[in-house]
Amino acid sequence: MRFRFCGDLDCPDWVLAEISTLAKISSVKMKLLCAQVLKDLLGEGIDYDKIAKLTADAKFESGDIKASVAVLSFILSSAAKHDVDSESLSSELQQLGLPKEHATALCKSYEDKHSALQDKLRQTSLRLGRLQSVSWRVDYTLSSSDLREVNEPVIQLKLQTQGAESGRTETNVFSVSADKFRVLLAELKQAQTMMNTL
Amino acid sequence: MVVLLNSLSVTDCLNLCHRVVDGFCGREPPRRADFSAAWSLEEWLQLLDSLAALFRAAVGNNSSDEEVSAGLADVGSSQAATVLKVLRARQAEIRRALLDRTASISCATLQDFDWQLKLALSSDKISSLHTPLLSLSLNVRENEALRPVTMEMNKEELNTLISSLETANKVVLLLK
Amino acid sequence: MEEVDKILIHALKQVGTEVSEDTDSIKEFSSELIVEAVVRCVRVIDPGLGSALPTSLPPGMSARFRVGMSLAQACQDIGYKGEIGYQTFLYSNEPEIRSLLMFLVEKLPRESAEASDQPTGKSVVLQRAVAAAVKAQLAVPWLPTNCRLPLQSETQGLGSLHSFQVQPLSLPYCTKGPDKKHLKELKDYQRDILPPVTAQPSHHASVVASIMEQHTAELTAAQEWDNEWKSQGLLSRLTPQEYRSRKMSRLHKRIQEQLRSAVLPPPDSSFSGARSSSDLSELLQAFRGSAPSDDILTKGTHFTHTQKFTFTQEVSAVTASVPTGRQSEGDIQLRQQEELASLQKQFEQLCSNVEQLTADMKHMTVTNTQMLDELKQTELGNSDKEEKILVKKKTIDLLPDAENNLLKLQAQVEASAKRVVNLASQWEKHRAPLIEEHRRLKEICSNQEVESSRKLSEIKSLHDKIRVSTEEAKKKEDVYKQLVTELENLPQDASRSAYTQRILEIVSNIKKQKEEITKILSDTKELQKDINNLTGKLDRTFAVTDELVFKDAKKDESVRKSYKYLAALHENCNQLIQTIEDTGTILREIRDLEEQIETENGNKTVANLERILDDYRAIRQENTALAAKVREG
Repeated sequence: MRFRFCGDLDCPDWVLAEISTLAKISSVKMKLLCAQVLKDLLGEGIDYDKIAKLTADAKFESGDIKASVAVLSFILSSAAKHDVDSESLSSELQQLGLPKEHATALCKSYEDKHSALQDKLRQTSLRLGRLQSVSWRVDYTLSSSDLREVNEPVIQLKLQTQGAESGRTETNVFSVSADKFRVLLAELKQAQTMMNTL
Repeated sequence: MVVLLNSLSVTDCLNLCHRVVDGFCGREPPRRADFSAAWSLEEWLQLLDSLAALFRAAVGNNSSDEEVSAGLADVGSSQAATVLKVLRARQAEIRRALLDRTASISCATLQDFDWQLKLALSSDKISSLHTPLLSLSLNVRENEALRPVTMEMNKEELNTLISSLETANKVVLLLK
Repeated sequence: MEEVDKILIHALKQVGTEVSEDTDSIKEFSSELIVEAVVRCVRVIDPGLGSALPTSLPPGMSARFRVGMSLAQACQDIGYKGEIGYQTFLYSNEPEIRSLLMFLVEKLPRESAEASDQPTGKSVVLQRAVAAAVKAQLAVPWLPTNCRLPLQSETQGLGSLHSFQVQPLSLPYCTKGPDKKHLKELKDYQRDILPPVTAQPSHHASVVASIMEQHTAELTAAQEWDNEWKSQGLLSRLTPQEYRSRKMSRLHKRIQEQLRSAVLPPPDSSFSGARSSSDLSELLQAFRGSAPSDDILTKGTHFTHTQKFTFTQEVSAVTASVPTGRQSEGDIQLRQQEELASLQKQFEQLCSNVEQLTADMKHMTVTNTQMLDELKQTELGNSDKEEKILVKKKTIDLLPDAENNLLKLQAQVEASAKRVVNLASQWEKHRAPLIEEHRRLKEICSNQEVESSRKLSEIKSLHDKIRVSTEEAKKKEDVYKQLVTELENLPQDASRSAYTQRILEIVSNIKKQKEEITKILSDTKELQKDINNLTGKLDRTFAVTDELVFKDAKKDESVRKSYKYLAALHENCNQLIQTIEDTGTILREIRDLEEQIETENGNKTVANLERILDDYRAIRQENTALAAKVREG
């Protein structure tokens, strides 16, 4: 069997196993649990006490709680990753043995947060460095030890970048001659037009 | 030490002067083996230094022919004329090299840059990412060493970069 | 008809009707197929109307009838003008169905059909290209480094990863204008010594990079200059060089002013401030070239001079104290203290001396300037008085011969008055043409101004036009390129060319037929003419013969008989002709009837009738069944 929400691959065994755990709690509780997991996936933090309370009447042990959170976050993030619509997710989950009410509850919360979840995933995708801020200053050189009359502008640039591997903010300050600066700007503009046609 | 030129023929002198300017402008400097005159290494180095200083001073101060000739008083007249000829022919290039030197006084200068436009199709987080990314790499010369600075920008970041560079360019245009 | 059917079937397939491969004419369509095709077409044309219609016929006869009715209604709503009813669908006949389907296919919205089977948008194309490239690269087997061909090393090897490094190049064409006087030397150098561009950079790898960067730099510079010149330079009405130099001088003035305003404000600033300001002013002076120094500058230097003076004194005092410090301890300290005190005293004294002296000097300078002013004033008064004395002396000289001199004076005065008048009239004479000239020149000037501004605006509009047209040209080129690629990507369905060919064939056929028809028409006309001719001739000959025979008939009995025969002959012949004509019409009628029979046969009347009978029976059965149910109920 291949499942779309697993990226057209077979469903992992542990997910299959834990789906039956999910079936033990009521669909309303499950929806609330989903909301908590979605919050976690969207980076807003998760409230473990609340989860413990939600799963209390199903007599979950701590292992079960962990497993259900894990399986929910797998299902939700994997479905968002492969851009599965909620209807097919619901039918696929039902094929995997999740009761219908549970599947609809899960898919309802998934549908609500679908685009937000995808945006979040897009944001957290691997990036090799980011540009954080740009500052500049234009100087006018009048004279120098080499040349008595220079009369050329020089641009000082400060670029704050976020490094690829460290993730730290690096500050780069350097000066650019007027000619170089012009070429740089022209090339960047060219790149921008190319980017806009993509 | 420019007097040492006197031991060269006019064509050799012309070649030597041009090669000195070449070396000054970032191309291959002259080699001692190419010139027949029997100079010691020390003399050779001194000659090169003095020639380079002469050219630099002449262009830097925008000297007239007479001023340069005055500096070449102890050189033979044909050699002096050659030096002057080379100076006039290469004036623009020397000036450009001097401008470059002036610009590179600051502790870090942009030496070269290169860019690549990439289309990220997919990632471990999401299967269809489809985001264009511009990776810009800057070679910054800092204390005589090249330091690479690379960054990857998405559309918005590139737009902010370009718009701020654009405002800077407006100021630069006023100053030209 | 076959081509028409093929086109129709193709269109129906596109709409989604499942027409099996081996049906290639409308004749083979079953009722179910017809209903499905029509419903699908209606759904595409008008989704609101079509969604209520089922694509297949229900089993019940009355339900079928209802479906047929509603379909007919839907077709009429869309705008079908031909005869249509439930029978069109249930008891089809070929021409009616064909015309209905043709109508529906023509009504199909074209774009949707095109959009559904054609990839649009650049991004889709790009993605496909990416997918194809990735697939191709994946298909290439991996090879060890030594076995790689150049083709594979492009994708598999690390290759030569050169960073983009630029070195300055010297190119003959990029020499800029102003340095004309050394052109000869430059040319000599470029011809004899300058190595080719490829040999100039020290690494071969940076040749391309250097050339590209230089090109971009010059291109952007030219573009920026072009923009500026078009937006501002043209309006200034100067030549490019003048414009540049004016801008430069304006910029210099601005910088100078800013520097000066930065130097000026702190007259009571600290020591270092004064120094830096003097440095700046020195720089300013250098910057301004050989311009004479200002008041501010001399003041600044004067100030720093006095400051320097006190500073050096302090330094010397300190250095003086250093060597004495290097003696044995004990009383050395005492002596040092003493010395220090004395030196302090001395220093203070000197300071006070200096202060006093500076105060004195100030005082002196003030008194000096005062004295100078006084001197000037007295000198002025002196010269005034001297002039007065001169005048008085002259009058005293003239006094003895007063009468005479008075007369002389009067004469002189009159003469000069006359001269003044004369001069004034002369001036007037000269003035008039000069004023005229002045006006004329002014007018010419203003005319030229108007002209030039007109030309300027013309130039501007031309520039704009050039820009717009280049943009347009670019856009059109892009569109052209895209269209060409699209054309290449179009599915090479033979249908289009086949259609056109077929249409051309049909047109030529029609032409041929038309020719034939006209030929036949002219033939018939000719025949008609001949017939008319002949009948006219016949009538005339008959009349003449009739007369002749009639005349003779009065005299001769046998002739009378022959006259009778003649009349009978004529009568009989007329009858014969009549009969022939009648047979013609009958034949034509027969042909018409035969055709009608043919068409009726084509309508499958018998089969349809049988089906109608069957359906009628089925409906009766249903009705009886229903009635039985009702009765049971």
